[in-house]
Amino acid sequence: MIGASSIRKEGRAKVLGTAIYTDDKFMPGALHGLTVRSEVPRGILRAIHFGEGIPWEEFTLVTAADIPGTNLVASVVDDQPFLIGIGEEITHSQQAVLLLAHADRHLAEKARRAVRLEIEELPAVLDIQSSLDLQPLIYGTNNLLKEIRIAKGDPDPIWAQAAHVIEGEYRTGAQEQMYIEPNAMLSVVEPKDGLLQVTVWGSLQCPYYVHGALKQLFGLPEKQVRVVAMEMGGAFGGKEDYPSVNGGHAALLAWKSGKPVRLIYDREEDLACTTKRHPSRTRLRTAFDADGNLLALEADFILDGGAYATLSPVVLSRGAVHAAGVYRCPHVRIHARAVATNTPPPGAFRGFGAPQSLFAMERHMDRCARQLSLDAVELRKKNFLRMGDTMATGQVIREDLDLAGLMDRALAAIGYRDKRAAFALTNPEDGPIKRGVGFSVFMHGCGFTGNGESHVASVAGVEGLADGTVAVLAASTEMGQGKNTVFAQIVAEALQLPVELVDTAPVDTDRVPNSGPTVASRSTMMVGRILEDAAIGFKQALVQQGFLAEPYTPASFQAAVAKAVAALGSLRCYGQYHRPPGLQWNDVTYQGDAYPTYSWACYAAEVAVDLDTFEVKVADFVAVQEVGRVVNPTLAAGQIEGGVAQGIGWGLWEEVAMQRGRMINNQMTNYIIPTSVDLPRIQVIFLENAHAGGPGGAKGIGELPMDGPAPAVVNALENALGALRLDEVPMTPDRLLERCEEVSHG
Amino acid sequence: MFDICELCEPETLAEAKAIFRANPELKVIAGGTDVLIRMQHGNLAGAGLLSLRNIPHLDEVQLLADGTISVGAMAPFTRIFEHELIRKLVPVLGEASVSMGGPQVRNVATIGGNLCNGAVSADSASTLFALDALLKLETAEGERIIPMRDFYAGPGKVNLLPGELLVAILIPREGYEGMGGHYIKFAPRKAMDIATLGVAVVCKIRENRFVELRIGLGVAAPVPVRCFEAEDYAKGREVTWECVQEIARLALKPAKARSSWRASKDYREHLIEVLAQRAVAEAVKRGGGCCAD
Ligand SMILES: Cc1cc2nc3c(=O)[nH]c(=O)nc-3n(C[C@H](O)[C@H](O)[C@H](O)COP(=O)(O)OP(=O)(O)OC[C@H]3O[C@@H](n4cnc5c(N)ncnc54)[C@H](O)[C@@H]3O)c2cc1C
Repeated sequence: MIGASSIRKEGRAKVLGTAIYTDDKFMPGALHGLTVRSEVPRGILRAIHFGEGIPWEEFTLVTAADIPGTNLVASVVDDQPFLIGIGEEITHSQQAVLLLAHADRHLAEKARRAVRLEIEELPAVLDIQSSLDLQPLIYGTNNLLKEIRIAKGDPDPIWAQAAHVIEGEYRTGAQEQMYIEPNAMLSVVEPKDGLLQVTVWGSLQCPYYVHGALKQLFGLPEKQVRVVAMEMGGAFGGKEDYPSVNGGHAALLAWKSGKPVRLIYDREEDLACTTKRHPSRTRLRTAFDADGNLLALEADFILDGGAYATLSPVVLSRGAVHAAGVYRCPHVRIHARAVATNTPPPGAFRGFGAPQSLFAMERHMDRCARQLSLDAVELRKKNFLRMGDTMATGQVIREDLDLAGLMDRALAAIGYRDKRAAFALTNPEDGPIKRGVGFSVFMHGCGFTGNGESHVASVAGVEGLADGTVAVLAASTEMGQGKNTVFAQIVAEALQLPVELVDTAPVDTDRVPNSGPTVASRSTMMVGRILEDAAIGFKQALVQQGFLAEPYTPASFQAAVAKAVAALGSLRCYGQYHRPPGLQWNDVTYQGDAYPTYSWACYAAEVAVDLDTFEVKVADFVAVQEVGRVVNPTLAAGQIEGGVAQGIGWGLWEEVAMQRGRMINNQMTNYIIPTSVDLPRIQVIFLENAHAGGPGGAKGIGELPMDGPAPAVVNALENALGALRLDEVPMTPDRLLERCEEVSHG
Repeated sequence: MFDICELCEPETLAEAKAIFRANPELKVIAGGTDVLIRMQHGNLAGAGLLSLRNIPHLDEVQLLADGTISVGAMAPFTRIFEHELIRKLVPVLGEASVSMGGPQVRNVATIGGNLCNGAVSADSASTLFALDALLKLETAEGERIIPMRDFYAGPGKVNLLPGELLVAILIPREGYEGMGGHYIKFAPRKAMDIATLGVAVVCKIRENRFVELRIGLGVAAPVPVRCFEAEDYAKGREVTWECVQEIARLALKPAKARSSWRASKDYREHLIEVLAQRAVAEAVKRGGGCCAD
């Protein structure tokens, strides 16, 4: 089962169109909810005016004053209100001020447009530098949402002694997840047995995050809140934290109206107001000895965290831990800050801070190679982490890591040496097309950073059903990544059953335990491991209670389960996360094992640049990764290909254009994600390496492919064009023209 | 889904014109790929629609007795680029047609809608400019035939009278006969994207000299434009690489490029020049000329 490309469990329903997404759920009498937003980046809300010609008495209206519990979204830091009240400060352009609902969605839309907000505008902070300069102060005492320092050794004495000190500054832009299904929620709030029961069905990654947010919003105990994850049309992190906000909004409208309420964003609203990848600025300083050995590294890593902390502290944390990349370095200092700006809060997006800091590091390594007159391959080989080395946090590499072998594999697959030689001959010729090859080497920490897993202490289980089949009980959601299928494979493997006998229970907080959020490349590795335990416990229970005798066949197992369920009413067995022995992490000093393990990769890209139009075409792409054991090769390759596409998009095209703190290209027609014709062939190569962490040795892979493409593509660009200030993504044609002109104008 | 108050679906052109005269506030809908997006944006809330879908023959491509090619306003782009007449006689229009959106869009989007929508980025517009096309417009009172460039009034604005319908696009024989042509759509993405710049070139070459050259630009100014200075310069000149470069420089003249978040003025002007070069060079080649230097 593990290692087979079992077909996607929910694939048939999706293809036939019978899968039920949130907006498909039939709910008679449901109202259409809409959100009135501030539209100015900063100011004091003075009044809400309701325009004429609208039958306001027919509307359900919710303002901050209506909120029954706490008007703060439960998150890492509870600083974000669900709604801004009169007299309160608006801190970004998409701040929700008023919620309205009506049975007629067109009338609701007219009403939304008839609302006028009276706002006393205040000067706003719209970029990283203004925030650092406190121009003006908008958050806390220093505009910092979070600050992290990681130290190893002492770089200070090194700078003066080292043969070479090389500095660079790198920037990355915001990025939209662009899931196909925009954010969507449906809620009913009604009394049940005399108690208020809040239910939300939605497109969401983390049912228990929303559950926690609703408890706090309504001031209700656990039992009175229920969250159900519907079929989901993609997420990529975009439905990790935001659903706590819009889920709360839908529930407020349902509670006030006493009717079911749909709150379905259209694409434009979704793009304008929901979370994006954090923009970043990274300054790196590295010292090398005369032979090119890395002696010291200093990183100043800054994320634009938007108006509230939301997930920025944890995104920053992952970005900081990845900032030193895959290199051995005795002296490291990483200073990481998430700064507040008056922009809609960014949030989770595949990679979660690591793509930003790794872009900087992998671009910087190529810059260093150039300045040291060393080959980019050789420079990396000299400095790669190996077994026994320590990373920036002091984490010791305990696995037999062979990054040089991994890199060689990728370079051979793309024909790196031959292409470099060939392009060196052809590029100086006339003609507008210049070609290059480049690569990046990187890692992605699997699961939560630091003590995250211990804090969540995930629980997952298996349940026997009346027909003798087995259901997986986990709050992990299917967003297209293949969780339904892979969990079934893992449980089937543990029970020695065909995968058809295992399926997933609906992800409903009334039914499934908290297996943690569906994030951080953790589901297969972390939850899968717990399920393996639960499955074995389940089998033992069947044996111990006399329902099952070993050895068994699938048929006898199924019969045993059916009998047990008939006799006992129900049969469930749970497992829980236990920190593997030997892992240590200190949240204060940022020292220890930042992750239980890492996936490792080398991505190589070939590009062709047209110097007439400054268009960049990625002509070939190779993705080699070591991810432990591959549970489902087809789904795993799909993850890599999709991540590479997203990474190339971030590197070349995807630009979030902001004006006065508001996204102005909030449509699919002008926020440019690549289509299949814009992408190269993507060769995916898995190197397997049995690792004890996950089920059957699996590591996480969901985010890994987002980290490598942008630096690989930009490094290839540098190979094609020579030394330019290629320090930023997306490297759009316009930007490339500007960089080329800098050189020609001296 | 959409906020629509009524939908009229006349079966004949006469009926359509009569309804439109009586109800000039109706919004004409052809393929709907622009109209429905406007509705989605809430810009036509509560509109009544006049659909041209059920009117026969309005989507036909024909060769008229005098050699004029008539393309029905309701012809979808897939029909146009697959059509024998277009392939044989005006392949450049086929090129522009197939550059539109993606297959699904091309199956429903019509050439009439593309022009009447008035977008400067309309992929068929710059080519029809270069082809010296005429538009056949009809009201219940009668018809008029106007050149393309009298049709565009400003960004998103076209000269359609109340109750008037675009019935056909006419490409006169002089517009296409013996001409080599090329359309370059420049957009960040290779499918499903709106042009950052559209350059359409047709030319007639005899003995490696320009007998005639016509260049249409989309997204270079608020409306599609012709490059008359460049065209006049070319007339009678021998095709050389220098000549093509000079044509491209002159092609910048009618451009009124502006900086936007999508592209800077510098970059747009640069593109006009290099793409005009490429398009002219290719059109020359297709017209039987050669611009080796
Ligand atoms: C996903 C997508 C991709 C697209 N890609 C491109 C692209 O690459 N290039 C491009 O140029 N465009 C593109 N478009 C825009 C659109 O598809 C075209 O402009 C299309 O040709 C419009 O034709 P239609 O038949 O759909 O027009 P409709 O939307 O039906 O009508 C457009 C306008 O013309 C008016 N109208 C239509 N027919 C007549 C008539 N016979 N007489 C009078 N008025 C009329 C309508 O009232 C309306 O104002 C795209 C649109 C979408 C949705």
